[in-house]
Amino acid sequence: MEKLFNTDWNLLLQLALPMVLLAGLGMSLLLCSAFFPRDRPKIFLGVLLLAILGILFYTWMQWRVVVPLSQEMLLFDRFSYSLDLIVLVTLLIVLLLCSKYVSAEGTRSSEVYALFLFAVVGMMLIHHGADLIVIFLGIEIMSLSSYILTGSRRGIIRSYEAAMKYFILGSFASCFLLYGIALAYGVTGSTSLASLQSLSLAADTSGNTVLLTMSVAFLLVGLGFKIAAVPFHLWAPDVYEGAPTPVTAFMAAGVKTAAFAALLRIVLALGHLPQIPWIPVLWILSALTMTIGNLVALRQTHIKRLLAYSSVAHAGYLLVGVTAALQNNTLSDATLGGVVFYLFAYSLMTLGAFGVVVAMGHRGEQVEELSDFSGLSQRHPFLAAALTVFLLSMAGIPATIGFAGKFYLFAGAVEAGFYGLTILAVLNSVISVYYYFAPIIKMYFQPPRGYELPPLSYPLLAAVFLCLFTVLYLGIFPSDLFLMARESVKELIF
Amino acid sequence: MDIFRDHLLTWIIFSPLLGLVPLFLFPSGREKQLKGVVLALSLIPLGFSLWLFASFQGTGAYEFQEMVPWMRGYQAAYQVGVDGFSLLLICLTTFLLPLVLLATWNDVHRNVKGYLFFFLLLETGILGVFSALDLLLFYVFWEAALIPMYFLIGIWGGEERIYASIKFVLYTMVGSLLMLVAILYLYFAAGHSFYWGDMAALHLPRMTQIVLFAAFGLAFAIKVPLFPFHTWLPDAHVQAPTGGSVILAGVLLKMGTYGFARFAIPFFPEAVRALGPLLAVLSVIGIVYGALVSMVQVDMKKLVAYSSVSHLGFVVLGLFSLNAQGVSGATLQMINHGLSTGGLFFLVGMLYERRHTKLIADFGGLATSMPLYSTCFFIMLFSSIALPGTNGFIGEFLILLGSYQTHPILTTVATSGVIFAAIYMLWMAQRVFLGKVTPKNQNIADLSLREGVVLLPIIVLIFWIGFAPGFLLDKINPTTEVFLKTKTEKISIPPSPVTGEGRGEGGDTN
Repeated sequence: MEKLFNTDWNLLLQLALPMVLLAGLGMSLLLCSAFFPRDRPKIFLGVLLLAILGILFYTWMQWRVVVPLSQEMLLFDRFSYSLDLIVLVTLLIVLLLCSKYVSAEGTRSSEVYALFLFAVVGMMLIHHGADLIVIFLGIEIMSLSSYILTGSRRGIIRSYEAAMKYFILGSFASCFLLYGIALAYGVTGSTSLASLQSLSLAADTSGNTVLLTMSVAFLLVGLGFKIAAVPFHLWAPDVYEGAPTPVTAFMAAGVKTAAFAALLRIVLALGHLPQIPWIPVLWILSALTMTIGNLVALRQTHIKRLLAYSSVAHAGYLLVGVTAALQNNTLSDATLGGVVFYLFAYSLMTLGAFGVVVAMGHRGEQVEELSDFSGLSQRHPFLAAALTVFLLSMAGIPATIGFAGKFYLFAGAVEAGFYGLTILAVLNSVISVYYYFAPIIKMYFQPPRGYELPPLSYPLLAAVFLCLFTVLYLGIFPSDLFLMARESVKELIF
Repeated sequence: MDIFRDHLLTWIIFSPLLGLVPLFLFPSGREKQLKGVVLALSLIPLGFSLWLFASFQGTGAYEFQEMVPWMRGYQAAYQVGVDGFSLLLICLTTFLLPLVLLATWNDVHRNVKGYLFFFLLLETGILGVFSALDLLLFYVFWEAALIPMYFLIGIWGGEERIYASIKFVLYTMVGSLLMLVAILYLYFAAGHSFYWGDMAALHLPRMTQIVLFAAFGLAFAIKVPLFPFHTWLPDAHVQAPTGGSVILAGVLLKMGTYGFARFAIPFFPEAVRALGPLLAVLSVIGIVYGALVSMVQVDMKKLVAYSSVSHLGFVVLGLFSLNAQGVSGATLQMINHGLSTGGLFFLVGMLYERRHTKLIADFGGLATSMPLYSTCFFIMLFSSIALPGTNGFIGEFLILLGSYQTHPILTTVATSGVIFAAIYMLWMAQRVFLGKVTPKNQNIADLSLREGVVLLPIIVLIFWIGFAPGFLLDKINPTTEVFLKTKTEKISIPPSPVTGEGRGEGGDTN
């Protein structure tokens, strides 16, 4: 504990400024809502967007200059900053998406915005956590904010139900996580990642091996829940369906990214231990997640449930990358970079797709059945084209970021020699084509229905356009982003 | 002019996209003018490719190479080049596209902008497939060509279009994604390079070759389509709009046969020795099966579609004969089939525009009411059944000549396909054109000037190739020689002038 007193607080403030600023912004928003009775969503939104752009820029500058530094509780390396960038972009787009929803649902905008900000602070804590406890704290901050946001559709029973379900199951998962951390403490006498990483189990300490294996199993269950890996995914469709659509987008993109960050840190810290059967476990987890996610998605007629199962499937593809990155213990920069790239790609296309779903909603009434999309191409060609591009990207069709991402993941898996898993993954991609094309069929091949299209707000259009442009541009020229992602994972510290 | 000459291939691939500009500029409601402008712009790629054809040396190596790094981190580059195989297919693509736009002048009324948009994207995709020398680039174009065709079938297709279009996509995706895994394997085997030459220079163990060949072969066999992977084709063809059918039969299917010639055979000589006979058998089954099924069709479009299965069987048989006549004949036959089947689809489409039916039973005695149309139809038909004097004869004759040397028994069986073709085609023609004019067919208008302009270039080429195929064979033959040498000796490929020893070394490898 001595080290804490040696902390260079100036340096720490400089490194953790994004987190501090976001937390400060969130609290000021709450104060504003306490002192000023009138809600001013437009002003709040404008200020927040500017602030987030500034923080985004600052984080990027930090990414460029950072020297990896760990101070027991928090660590700062390019990996954590690159994940920060992903969640900040997510936050930016989600704020744009929810501008309309906030004014329509009668919720106070400042509260919603503040909760989003707190969730992102939690995510950043996960990225920068050098200690299992800090990671746990981050997960809890993130999750609690998400629980509340999920239930923020006033008077809609389904939203409450989703929040309750998410809360109960999520708390259960947190218990697993905490128990796993406790068992890890039992083995090493410390909860820091560094101590886990320097751990080497001698052959005779079989008791410790059992403890550690159990600890890892509990941690995997807890994190598997957060990333919605099969068989811990059952909450996802219900919660995604019940939550307000911008919140769903936030959960699908941001929460999943942060949870993967936690998973990656822990897996990489403990990956060197031969006693833990990492490869078979992750292999099976990813195979199950991909296959079941995709197969169940085939039967969905509700766009948010469909996207929920697709997000389960994407967690499976990401796990393919994690499995490949762990192979033969010499971490492949390219493969791990591919995982980071895919997290960004996945976030963007998911946000875009949900953005279109938000745009389809009308005066608080959400439009979520696939049949509501019939003939959209004739009524609103831009929305139809945008959703088509996002779906093609999720299906992994070339010239979109989704293809580039899958390419990097599968290339890593082939390099590591996981041919079976790669073939399973590409066959899954074929299955996914079938359900990703279902909305396209509705939008383009079927006549319009008598549904009145809502007027579109500019922030919403800006968000969808931003996603669309990035998905296409980075789909055709992915190398800069990939090199950045690869750079991010070169000097991992614990 | 240097900016054009130095990047001629790039101009060809991307100049179709120039046609997208008027799509965004024109207000809706002026479809006629828009079509005219896009048609005029579609002559630009044709002009470029004629220039390419004229200045193509025919050395057997890749010409007009260009290389720009593309995906750093993984050594993928924008690398393109043409040889005898791809040159003709590029020209065929740019030749057919203006005709397609002209032919569907009155056909498409709904969402004209979208129709043109997807056709132009499709053209760029196909041209990219035929010019890519980087396997990842090839894959990207290969998949990218799939999506516009999907929309063309799905939006402007017939009654069963949704089923047909999704079937088309799923079949193609299964093959191509497995091919992607094989490409990735080759990338690492070739020392981090996607360049064609580096992969062709590999010496892989026999079993590996067979597995990889199966992955590539499945993708190409589905695309060709080879029996038993052909079931998507009749559905897609029958549902597709006329223009879509023409491009599908004319060039899209050639992506499969081209893939065999360019990648699968040169990369895996051992596997070809092991599995070549199997593919020859499948192609002969396809020839006979396609012909027999054609015979019982009641729908003209479906008949032409099944005849494609039969004809492309000949192409694959020629490729796997692995001798000069067979391979050159197969390459020529790819072009011939594009002309004759493309022409037949045009003609069926014109008839459909007039009568809104494609059923053979609905017609009769058209020769009396539509003499010009019937003449054109018979010319295409003769080309399709390989009558001497037409282009089809040269191609099929060369193929049979070549394949007889390697597979005498199979070739004998395949020859029956030629006879069957004559039977089903002539029988169909007899029912549609000859005999007494039924009342409903009495007053059909004959070919208009526009339709004549569509058909005339095809007819000219049919006879030109039929009587003097030298101007094409001269371009093909050197490439065939290199192809056969590569296959038999696995010699080192002539190093590409742009990259020297290939791209494996240097750059930013991991």
